[in-house]
Amino acid sequence: MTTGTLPTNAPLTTTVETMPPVPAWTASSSPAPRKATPGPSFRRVVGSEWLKVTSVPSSWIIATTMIALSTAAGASLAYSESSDPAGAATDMAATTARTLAPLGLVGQLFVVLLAVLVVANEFSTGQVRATYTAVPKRLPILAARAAVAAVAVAVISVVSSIGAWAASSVVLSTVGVHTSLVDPQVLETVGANTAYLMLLAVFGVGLATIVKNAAAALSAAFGVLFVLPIAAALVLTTTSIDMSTLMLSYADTIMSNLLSGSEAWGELPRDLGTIAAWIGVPFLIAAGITRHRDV
Amino acid sequence: MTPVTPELTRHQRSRCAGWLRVLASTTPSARNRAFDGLNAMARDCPLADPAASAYCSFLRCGTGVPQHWYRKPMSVVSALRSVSFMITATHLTKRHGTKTSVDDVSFIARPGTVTGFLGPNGAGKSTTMRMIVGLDQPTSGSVTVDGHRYEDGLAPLRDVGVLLDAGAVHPRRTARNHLRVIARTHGISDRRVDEVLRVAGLDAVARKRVGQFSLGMKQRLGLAAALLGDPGTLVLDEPVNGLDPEGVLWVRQLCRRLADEGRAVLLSSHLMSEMAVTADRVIVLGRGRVIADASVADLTTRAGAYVRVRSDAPDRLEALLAPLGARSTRIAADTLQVSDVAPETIAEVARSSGVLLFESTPVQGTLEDAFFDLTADDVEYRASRAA
Repeated sequence: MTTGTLPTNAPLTTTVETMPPVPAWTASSSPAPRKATPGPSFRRVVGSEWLKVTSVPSSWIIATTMIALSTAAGASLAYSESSDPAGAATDMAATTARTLAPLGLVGQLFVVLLAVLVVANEFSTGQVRATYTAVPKRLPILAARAAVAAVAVAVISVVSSIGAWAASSVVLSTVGVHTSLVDPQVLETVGANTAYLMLLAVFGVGLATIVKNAAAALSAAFGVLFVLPIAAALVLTTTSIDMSTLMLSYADTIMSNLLSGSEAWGELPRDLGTIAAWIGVPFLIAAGITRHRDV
Repeated sequence: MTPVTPELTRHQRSRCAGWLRVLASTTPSARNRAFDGLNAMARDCPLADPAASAYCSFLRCGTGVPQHWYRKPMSVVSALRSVSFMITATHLTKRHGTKTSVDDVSFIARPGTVTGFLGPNGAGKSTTMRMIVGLDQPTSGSVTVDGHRYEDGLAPLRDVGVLLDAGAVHPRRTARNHLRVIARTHGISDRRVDEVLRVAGLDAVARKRVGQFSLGMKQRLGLAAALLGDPGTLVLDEPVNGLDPEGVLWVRQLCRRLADEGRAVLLSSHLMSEMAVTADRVIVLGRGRVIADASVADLTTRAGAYVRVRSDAPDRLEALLAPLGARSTRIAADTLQVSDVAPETIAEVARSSGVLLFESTPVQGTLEDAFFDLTADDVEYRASRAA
């Protein structure tokens, strides 16, 4: 029981009429959606994830930086090619392709960063609870994240390749080398880089879903991409086992082999299996965790 | 009240099915006629116990979840659908290792009422609310929304609008984009997003980054997100946390208006005075268990009433009232707190024995008193009293 106080602990009664007008609550006046399914369809979830990625400034910053850096890389590689004008002019398409080939390595850092940030920020800010409330089946969200990451990375990669080609064309034209963008060799290189970066994006999404923390996921991804090949080579120097073709970073070569048609038939199952394992295993684990984890 | 399950005659069933077919037409006037017809049928049906799923089957004519409902303006649909909306928890239990945060909790949040969740910190309120929307899986027991699990609903945001953690937003996104992201998963239009922002009073700051918002504005944004799908049920965890008095009033009026429209509102709060005015029923949790599940009126009656008496001879008055069965406590030099006796009796006793009464005020116990009374033993985190 309260001690003797003025009766302010009596229940509060208010006269609503004397209060300032509050915006009247109205149930929705807009027409309901025309589509047959009233709730979350996969297309809608993908649209929502796409808006998530594009409505955050960090995605744009990463994209712009990668495009700028790729353009600069293309220009600098073209400059080094143009130091040997005769050699460059013998096969113009190959020269341009050589200036565009390393873009996969330039972009892999940014792509993994983008993929991991987009997913891990959702977990760290708690936004994921709103997402899982809207789509309680959860697995469509994971698939949509991967799809959106892949598409976004594809767009960024193509734009950076175009930028790099433009820069290298400007530089190479000073030594008389002209290659069009739609030359098959150039297209192969661009396609291989884009495919490799898309794989990395999907890998990043799976990894970040398992390890909700951005820093940990980035460390793991960079470890897999940069440290693991070196460590494997060092550890296995004494033996004759060659693990370099089983690394995720080797997927760059696999993609360019596949697109240029120089893939050896005997190595195809191993290469496809490598890619499937590196992408599929984290994704399966992520799917299991997503379904059953308490958020 | 004994539950009455309305039995439909074959004639009623065919009429109902006919109206539902008209609902699917494209002419607004035909749809309105269909809604009027169905509403009239619903009024004639005696609804004693909202838990009677027979009413649901009456509206749906046993055809399962009616997909075409969702094509209609939500205002009309919610008016019809909402009668069957409720949250039913049955023996909900949640264990983390050895710690049981929710222990055999069962309740029903009925449509048309505001149900309040009260409890000390750590009593399991937030965990229960998260289990309603499927963010946590119960160790045993179940909780259903309108008879089905939350994740089995066709459009979860239109079934339950939930406010759990207003701060769970990406700080670099604008308020409007935050709502659009949620709205896009269900195909809810941008016009609805702007409408909800206007209702929440955020239309002036819609294009500002959420990171710059104050606590109250983030809370309003969370409420706006809960209202986005025009849901039949609302689950709000501490909705008035951080709101200014105008905002507190807004939430109170909003909850009452939503409940009057027939929706089920479940809200948890620590603000007793607000809860006493807003809620119809109150569920008190303590250490994971349901301690009380009663209407606000019942709980305040339980808190008891007393009369505060200020006189010039309190000791004599106390002695005179004791044989009448009064329990008195001395709370100040001249003030007594007397219970179990009417103020008229006190006045008569005082007059007949010459004691001057300066003040005789009946005081009704409050929800806060009842709450402290109930949860005295179940508070998990108690600050130590200053010496």
